[in-house]
Amino acid sequence: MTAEDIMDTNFVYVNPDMSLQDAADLMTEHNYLFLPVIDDEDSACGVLLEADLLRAVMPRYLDGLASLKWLPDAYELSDADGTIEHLTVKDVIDDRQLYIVQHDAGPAEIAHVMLTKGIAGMGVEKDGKLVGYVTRGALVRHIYAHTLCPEETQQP
Amino acid sequence: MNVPAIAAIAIFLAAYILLATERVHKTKAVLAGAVLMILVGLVSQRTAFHGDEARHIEGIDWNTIMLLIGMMIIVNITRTTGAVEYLAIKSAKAVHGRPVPIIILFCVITAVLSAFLDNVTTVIIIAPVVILIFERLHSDPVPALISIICASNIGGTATLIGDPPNIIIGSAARLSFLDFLSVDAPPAIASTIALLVAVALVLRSRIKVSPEAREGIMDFDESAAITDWRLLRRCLVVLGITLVGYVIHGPLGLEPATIALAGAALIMLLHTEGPDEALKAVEWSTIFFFIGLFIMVAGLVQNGVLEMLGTGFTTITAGNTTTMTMVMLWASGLLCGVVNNIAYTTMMTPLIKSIAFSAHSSAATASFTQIYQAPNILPLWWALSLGACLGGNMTSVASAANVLVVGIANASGHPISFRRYLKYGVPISIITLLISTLWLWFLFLR
Repeated sequence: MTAEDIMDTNFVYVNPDMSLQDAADLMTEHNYLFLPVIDDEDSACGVLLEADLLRAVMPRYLDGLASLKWLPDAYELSDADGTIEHLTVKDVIDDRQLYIVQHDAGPAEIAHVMLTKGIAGMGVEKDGKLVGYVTRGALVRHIYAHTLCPEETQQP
Repeated sequence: MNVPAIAAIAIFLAAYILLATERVHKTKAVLAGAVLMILVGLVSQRTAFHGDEARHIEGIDWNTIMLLIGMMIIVNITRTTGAVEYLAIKSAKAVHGRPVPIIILFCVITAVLSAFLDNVTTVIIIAPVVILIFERLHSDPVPALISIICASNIGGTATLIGDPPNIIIGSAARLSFLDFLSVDAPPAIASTIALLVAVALVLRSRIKVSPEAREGIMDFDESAAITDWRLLRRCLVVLGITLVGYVIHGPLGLEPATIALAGAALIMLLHTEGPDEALKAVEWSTIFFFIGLFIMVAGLVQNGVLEMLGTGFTTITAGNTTTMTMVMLWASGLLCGVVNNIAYTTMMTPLIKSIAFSAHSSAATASFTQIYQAPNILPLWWALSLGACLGGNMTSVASAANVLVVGIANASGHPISFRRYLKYGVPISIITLLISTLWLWFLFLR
């Protein structure tokens, strides 16, 4: 089994110039926790996380506070300056890279990268071109299908 | 000047230029310079790591390092309790959301916490609270933010532990916590009062807030700010014990670093989290910045560079104590508006030591105190301390607290430009340096 067997070739991704609002609609509609960001030339630009959508309305300097429980109940996270509508995906993804595996990589290699880097999806490359996307879910399904199911099938 | 001295200066300057222009992170630049000095033999590893008492070379100042680490641990466990937020909200509500009294109270809180904890941590918490409060008041938070920057630098001046230059000076000159309280605290308190008067006079007519907006502040719930009452009580006990330890470290014959480490050990014992969590709070990048600086300065001292500069300083000022003190105060104050005050102080302490050593008639046989705390030398240490700390108000890049708050202001959509800061920072610096001038004159030079 290689990356090619596990990957999805018809995967959902976002363009770096897509508005943050559109990306948020896409993610919330399908419950995506993250999406790869790929530009018009089919090259990987990074990963958009659900957390990035929160970060856009929650400035980093508030992280220094012990809690925000003391804020009034009516205090709502809002886009006070109206800047969010001008934000695009590339404004919020920082320099977080989309990890890439080669098309012939095995499940051990993929699992190792996912666990050590704490990521849940990787691009699959063949001859320098992005040909697919493998998620942690797909990898788990494959691994467990190939290790557990054969035993089950052995039972009379 | 000999070749090793020139090489040491070249390495020091190269590292400084890299860090000042931010082409390389300051810790990387300084550490590379330090290691280079050891590798090319400008200072031996033994001298760099342990100092060389016979040749009056300090090496890595472990007092400073351990004091910093100890305080970082104590402060960072305490800050998770939400106590600073509690104090800030409580005081904003106590003055019914009136903006100028809020700024005044926040300045006092910031100054006191900066003196006894650490000014960077204080502003990391106070600045976001200021922004949340002033946004609710529909008022520009920038005047309040600049005021708390000034308060944090002035407050840090007051004690041995308040600002890194004081930690370095206290260790180098063996001045105690009480020495700092008796010499640096009075001008710091006077400077805080001057700042508060300036805030009241300048901002009173400029900030207008509607009664409805002020009412909004009363919706904040300070009692919800405390995340863990049990931990808070423990932290307050440890802070209290540590503070008492600082007050009596001299008579006990202990260095302040030991007091800080004792406090850190105690708070780690009382905290349920594992040690890794507490040690995560240590800013290792800052610690290695200090280590690198100490090694590079050891290289400069070993090759006679600072002795030469000291002789130059004595010649220019004709060895006159009054002139030397005033030049030290104002030169430090003005320079620390543009150069890194930690690097500056690390370099100036051996320079003052060299002046003291050559000024003493029988330095070879005299005691440490007789040489380095001689009546004509003592005012120099205080001038350096007051100048380096108060100069931190001069520009928006003059100290770590300034850089942090300006960064927070920019991120919150209320940018503080370099020029806008100068309009407040320069007058405050000059007023506080004038107060220090009068105080040093009154204390030592009359």
